[in-house]
Amino acid sequence: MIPREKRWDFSTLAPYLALLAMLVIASVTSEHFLQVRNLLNITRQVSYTGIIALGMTFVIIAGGIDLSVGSMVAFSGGVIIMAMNYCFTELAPGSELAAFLFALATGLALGLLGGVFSGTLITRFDLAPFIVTLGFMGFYRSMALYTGNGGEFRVESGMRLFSRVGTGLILGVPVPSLAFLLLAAVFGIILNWTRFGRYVCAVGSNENVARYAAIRVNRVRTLTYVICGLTVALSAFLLGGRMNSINSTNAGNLYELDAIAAVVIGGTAMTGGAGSMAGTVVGALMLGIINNMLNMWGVSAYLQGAVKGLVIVLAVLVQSARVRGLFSRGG
Amino acid sequence: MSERDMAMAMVGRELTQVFPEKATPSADIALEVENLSSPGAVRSVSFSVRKGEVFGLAGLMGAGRTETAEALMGLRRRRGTVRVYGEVLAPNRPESAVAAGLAYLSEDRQGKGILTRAGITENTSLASLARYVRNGFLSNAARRRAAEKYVGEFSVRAANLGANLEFFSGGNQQKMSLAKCLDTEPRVLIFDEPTRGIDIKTKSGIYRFIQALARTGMACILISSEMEEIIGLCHRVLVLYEGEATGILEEAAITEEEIMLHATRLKTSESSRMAAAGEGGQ
Repeated sequence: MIPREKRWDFSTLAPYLALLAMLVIASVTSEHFLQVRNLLNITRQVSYTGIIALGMTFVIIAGGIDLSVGSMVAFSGGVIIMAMNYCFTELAPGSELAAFLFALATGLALGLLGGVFSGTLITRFDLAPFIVTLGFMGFYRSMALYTGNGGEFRVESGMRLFSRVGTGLILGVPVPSLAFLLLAAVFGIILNWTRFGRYVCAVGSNENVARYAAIRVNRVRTLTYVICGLTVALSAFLLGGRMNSINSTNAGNLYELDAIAAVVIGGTAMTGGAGSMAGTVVGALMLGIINNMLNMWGVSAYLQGAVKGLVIVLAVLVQSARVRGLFSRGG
Repeated sequence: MSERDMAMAMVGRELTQVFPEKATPSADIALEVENLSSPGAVRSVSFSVRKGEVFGLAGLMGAGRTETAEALMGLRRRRGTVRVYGEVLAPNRPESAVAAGLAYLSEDRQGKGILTRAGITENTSLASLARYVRNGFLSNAARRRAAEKYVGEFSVRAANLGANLEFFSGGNQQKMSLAKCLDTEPRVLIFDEPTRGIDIKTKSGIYRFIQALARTGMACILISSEMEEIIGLCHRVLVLYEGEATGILEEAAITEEEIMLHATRLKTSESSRMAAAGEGGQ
């Protein structure tokens, strides 16, 4: 009988080893690191970009990219809060639950539509994803600024359910972290145990081969953008619940960088064709831990970007050796 | 040393015949093509393939053979009618072609046939994933079992089921591409230059395989630039010249000379004029 596949090779283990190394360094250099409160805080902080990174993982595996996610957080966050206020004051006055659900539904609908729009433009007209999403990046930020007048979108006082959920804990775990981890599990199952997941990998690996295997390439690619749009909406919803507001200027700032970085550090190659949701979680956690470490060491906040950038470059360096290696992990 | 001697020396056993005995096709029509056109490549081609038949598609390079196959599969824009066992195929929908039982072994192995950066399991079930869905989810175990089955059947030597195909030999890559086609459980299989770039031993294995497949009732279409393959394997041959059918050769008429004459349009046949309904076959 022929063995399944080479289970343990360096390239797939690398992100986990790096995470382990980082945990060791952090706990050794600071007594506060391993405190439960600190660890939970880290997971909560990375959740907002982490959730988006999960959606981005599908996009990148299929061979695309979405630069608009950060700006879209601001725009959909604004729309979510406006919808919430509208429902709370007009549609079903006083009902917090109705406003909560209405805002969530509106946000997700917006995320879905945005994904359909970008996805269709990219696939139907064979446009470069980089350029199309770059355009949307500018578009969404501008729409957020315009509708928010450059200021904050604030939730009506009296609508407390939103922040109760956004800052709440379930079994001691922050809601955003729980959402992040649960979504990672669901997406991981989709990627490895559904036809769609396999199609995403095939399309990213070789679009022609996928087409000749009767896979609906355009539909698969568009769906990845839809999924990403939905994760943006969810992230914006949770973000809004943090302070009961969304800042039209700053919300989602550089989220695209963090999301893509998490995906790449986690082992998913930009060339597409293969990837892992668990890897993306590891990537997101690593970025969070690095931030945390730098804070604890008293390193200037201004230097955090530099460290993050170096880590990203290091991650792709390690990956390129793997691509040339004999046992690279397929699909 | 004659070519035959060299071939025998490479294979290491007696080559009693290079081509296996041809199967006997049934009378049932598996594939019916009427006035197939594809812009820029194929013009009003008509033919039919019987169950258990090996039907050749011959012609010079650029004659439109591959384009005909792609048009049948819905991978190229087409006009005209295509019927598989009576069922009309929707144009421009590869899913429709595969669902109806068409399969296409592309000549462009690395570009269109296999995912070079993926392993055996991923490649063999790529076009047939719907068959492995259990309770809404894919059974990767079932996919691996199917992959193992092909590895055994085709005697592929691989370190493990996940090893990337880019390091496989041309012959083994072709076997994987063929496995992918077969896993969709087709009733009509189009072979496009199946033995190009393949060693002699694997070649004769493929010839035996094609006839054995025909014997099980598969309607096979063989596109080949190698004359002897066409002559040795096919029951009937459609010859194309610049996208148009110049003749359908049968039985004893399948000779190098006849094929060449039709391929260069120095000769056109009655049957081509009848097959291409409405088109003057001059």
